Amino acid sequence: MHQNDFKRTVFVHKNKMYRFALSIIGDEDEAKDAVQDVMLKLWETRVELSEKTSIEAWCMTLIRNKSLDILKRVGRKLKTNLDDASVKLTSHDKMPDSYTIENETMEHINKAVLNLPEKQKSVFQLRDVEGYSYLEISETLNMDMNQVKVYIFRARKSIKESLENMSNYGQR
Amino acid sequence: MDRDRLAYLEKKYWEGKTSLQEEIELQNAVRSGSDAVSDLLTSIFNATAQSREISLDDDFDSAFWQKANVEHNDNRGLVFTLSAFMRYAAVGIILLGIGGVVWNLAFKTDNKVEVAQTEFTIVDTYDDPEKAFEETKKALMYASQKLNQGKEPLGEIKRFYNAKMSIAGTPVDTVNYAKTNNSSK
Repeated sequence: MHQNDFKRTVFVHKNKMYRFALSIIGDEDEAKDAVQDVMLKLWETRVELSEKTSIEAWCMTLIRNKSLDILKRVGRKLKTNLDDASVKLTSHDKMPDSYTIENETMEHINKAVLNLPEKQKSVFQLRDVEGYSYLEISETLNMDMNQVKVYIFRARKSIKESLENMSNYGQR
Repeated sequence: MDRDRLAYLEKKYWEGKTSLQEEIELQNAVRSGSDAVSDLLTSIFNATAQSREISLDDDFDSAFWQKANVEHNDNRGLVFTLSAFMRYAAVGIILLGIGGVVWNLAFKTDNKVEVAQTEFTIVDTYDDPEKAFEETKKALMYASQKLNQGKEPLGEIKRFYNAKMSIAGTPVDTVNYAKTNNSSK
C-alpha cells in the first residue's frame, strides 16, 4: 500500500479516531498521542490491511483498545481533568447573550457523556456523534447487537436524567 | 414536519429504538428550529453536532508523516534482512523437501535392491535341509579344530608356570590354596 492509498483508506479516519479517543480518555494530548501511535502501527502493518473487511471498523477498534490502555495507565490523573475536558469539548462560536446558558448546558452534556460507563460512552459516541449503524457498532466494539441497543438506551436515559436534574436544580 | 411524527420519533429515540434515518429526521427538525422537539433533545443534538466538528490540526499530519518516514527508513534494513532471510529459508526448506523426496524415490529403492542382492550372494541359504545340516556340521568341526589348536600354547604356559613355582620352593597346590584364602578374606 502506497502513501496515497494509505491516506485515502486509513488516514482519512484520523478525526473520527481522535474524537473516539477523546471521548474515552478525556484528554486532548493523550488522545492525539493515541491516534499517532495507532496510525504508526497501521502504517507499519499496511500490507495486511487489505485483508480487513472494514478498515474503518478496524481503526476504531484499535483506537478504542489503545485509549483504554492509556486510561488504565493514567486514569486517575485524567479523572481529575474531566471538568476541563468538558469545557474543551464545547465550541465557542455562539453570540455572547446565548453563549453563557448554552455553553453551560453543553458543558453539562459533555460532562454527563464523559461520566458514562465506558461501554455506554463508546456506544453513544459511535451512534449519536459518528452516526454508525448498530451493526457497525457491534463489529467495532465486538459486541452483540442487542447489547448495543441496551447500552444506547441506558446512555441516552442517563444523559436525559442528568439534564433534567440540572434544569430542576436551576428552577429552584 | 408533522408534530405528532416528531413526538413519536423523539419517544422512540429515548427508548433507543430509532433507525439512523429516523434520527436524521429528528436532527433536521432541530436544525430547522422546530419547536415540536423538546429542549432536552435539541441540546443533546447541538452538543453532538459540536462534537462532530472536533478535528486534529494540520500539525498532526506533518508530525505523523515525518515520524512514519523516519521510522520506516530506520526499520527498512532490518525489515529487508528479516524478510529476505525468511524468503531464502522458505526456498531452502522447499528445495530440501523436494531433494529428499527425489532421493527416496530414485536412489533409496535401488540401494535396497543392492543390499538384498549382496546379502543373498554372501550369506546364501540352502533349500535342502540335509545339505544345510552337513554344511553347518562342517563349519562347526572347523571351528572346533581351530579352538583346539589355540589351546595347545596355553598348556605350555601352564607347564612353565608350575616349573617356576617349584623352583621357588612353593608347591603349586599351596600357592593356589593361599591365593584362594587371601581373596576370601
